[in-house]
Amino acid sequence: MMKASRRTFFKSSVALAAALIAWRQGVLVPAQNQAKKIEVFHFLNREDVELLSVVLPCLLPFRNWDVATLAHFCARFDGTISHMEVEVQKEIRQLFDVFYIAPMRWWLKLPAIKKITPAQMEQALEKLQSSRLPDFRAIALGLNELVCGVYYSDPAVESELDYAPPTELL
Amino acid sequence: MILDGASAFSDQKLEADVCIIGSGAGGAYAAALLSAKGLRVVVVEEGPYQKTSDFKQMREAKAYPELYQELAARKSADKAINILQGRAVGGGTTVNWTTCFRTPKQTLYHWRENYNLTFDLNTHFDAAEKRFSIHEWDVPPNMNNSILEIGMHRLGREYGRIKRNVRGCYNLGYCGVGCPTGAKQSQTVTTIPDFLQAGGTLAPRWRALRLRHHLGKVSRLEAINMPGIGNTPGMIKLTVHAKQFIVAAGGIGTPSLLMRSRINDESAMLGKRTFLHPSVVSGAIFEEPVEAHLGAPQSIYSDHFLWRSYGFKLEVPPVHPVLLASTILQRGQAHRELMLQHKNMQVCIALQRDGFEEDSIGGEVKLKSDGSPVLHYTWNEKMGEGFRAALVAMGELQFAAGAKQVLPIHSAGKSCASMDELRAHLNTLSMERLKLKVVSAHVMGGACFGVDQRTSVCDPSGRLWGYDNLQVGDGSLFPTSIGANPMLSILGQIHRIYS
Repeated sequence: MMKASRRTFFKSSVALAAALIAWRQGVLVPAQNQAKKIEVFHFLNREDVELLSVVLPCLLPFRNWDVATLAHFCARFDGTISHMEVEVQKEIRQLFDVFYIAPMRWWLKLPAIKKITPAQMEQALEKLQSSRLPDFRAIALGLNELVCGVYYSDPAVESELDYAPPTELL
Repeated sequence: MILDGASAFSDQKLEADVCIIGSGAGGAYAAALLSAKGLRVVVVEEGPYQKTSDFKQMREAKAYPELYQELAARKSADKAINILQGRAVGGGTTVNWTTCFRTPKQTLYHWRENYNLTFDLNTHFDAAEKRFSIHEWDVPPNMNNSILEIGMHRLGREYGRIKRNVRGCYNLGYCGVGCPTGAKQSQTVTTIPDFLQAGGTLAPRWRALRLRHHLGKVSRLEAINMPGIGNTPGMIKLTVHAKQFIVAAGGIGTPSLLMRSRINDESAMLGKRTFLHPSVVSGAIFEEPVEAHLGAPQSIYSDHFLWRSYGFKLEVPPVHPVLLASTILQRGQAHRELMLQHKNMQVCIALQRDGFEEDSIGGEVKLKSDGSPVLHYTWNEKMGEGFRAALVAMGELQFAAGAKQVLPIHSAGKSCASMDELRAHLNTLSMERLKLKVVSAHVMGGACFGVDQRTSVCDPSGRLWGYDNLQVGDGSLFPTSIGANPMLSILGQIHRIYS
């Protein structure tokens, strides 16, 4: 009788755990993702925008990243990523998610996203880029390439570089 | 006839004598040659059909999403190598820098000695050069190329002029975003109009999913449309029934289509030995403006170091903002300062000749869970030493030509003011992957031809061993890299096979 109750208890615990996991993955996580979503964007969510607001002053420190500039950049960034293939978008999602994983943030000595300073982000990126692990180096290089690529693909910044396609010759 | 997948609203069926998958250097040329023989040809292409009038903006931001694989951000599986590959009607010929080299005689010798492949291609190169107006470029090189010439000349080293496939070129320097004047003799202004005029069918914006085959005979191709911005497959199907199928989807696309189709490959070589000419980059700052974004992108080269072990070819790339911004590995203010100096920056690239040494096995194309391809490239220590030698050689020529500072493109790279300083600095740098910037614009191999079906995927005519009506018709056929920009090598082989 005792054995049977233990087994029953064990089985019901497993079933409860499975149900909780299923609820978390099926209901809670999608609901959280939905809550983080920004309607006008396809890829970026609220957390990503917060992350970009600390990454941009670090990678592109010469700009004043006020709300309007950040919004303009995010719109271009989101537009670029949403043009990519789904598989590539998944990889970029993983790149962002690295900074949301608590143990990873602890290792990088980063506080909560909203509290990260450009100096802390710079140190974290340096740590990633000088890591012995190629995957970590890929994160730092990938983020830099993505952010700088999007920034300099904006025709509005061409004048900063004194660059202009010679369309008048056509 | 043009059957654009973006505007198709119901499933489509086509019948033809020949179905060609891919419209790049190989596919479009084969289509034109076969159409001229009176065959009904269908060409299926994943990218859009854009013409000269679509390229007038001359902007990277427009061209990369529309004309390149993965917005020009394709990378090897480990993210260590950036791979520039075209994805449009005309394939690489629509976006390349018009550089034309015949297959070097040393490469053909290597193929003969190691793979028993004997080709006499001179007549075929003559024909291709005539067809695509490939000739000496008699306009003085731009400053970016001149520096390569001056540097090598002052060092007493070998260099030469590059032939280009242009007619009436405006010398703008925007070949990489689609020629806005129609001067570049890409497939979109040469063989594609010919093949359409001969009654051929061009089906752009259809992704080839798989070939259906039974007992060594392919019966049909199944493709799906790529509507909208072309990054996600739609719901509409295209089926092409044909007597013969030619896969010319490029160095990664061809092996992956054959893999998705579960083609029987007894050699187990399909997808393997994929080569890239992995290239390292050296930037140099000059007192006077270089304006490396203007003028014919490539007109000078040097093979001085090409035929040594892990040797390299020296060329220069055009320096446009997005290309430069995504190449520099510095961060923050250091990155910005280099960007602001772009007008005075000269850039050299060294293309490593891969696949010739026993331990240079190149990469392997594999399929992800959704069937899309990814290239796993094998990095070895000797490659790294080859890269170090290349960075030294580029620094030497840049200083010889008068550079104030030279910067090896490396995550720990620093600007050096003298050759001694650069040499000492390079000795401290690790040449590991993802520390050094490595780029590629030439994907070759993955479905190599050979005379022995145990060691090759195709016979010397490109026919897959064991299949009556299935051929490969692009640079995937090469058993090693070429040691030169591969477009003319592809054209020569296609003329040999299909003329």
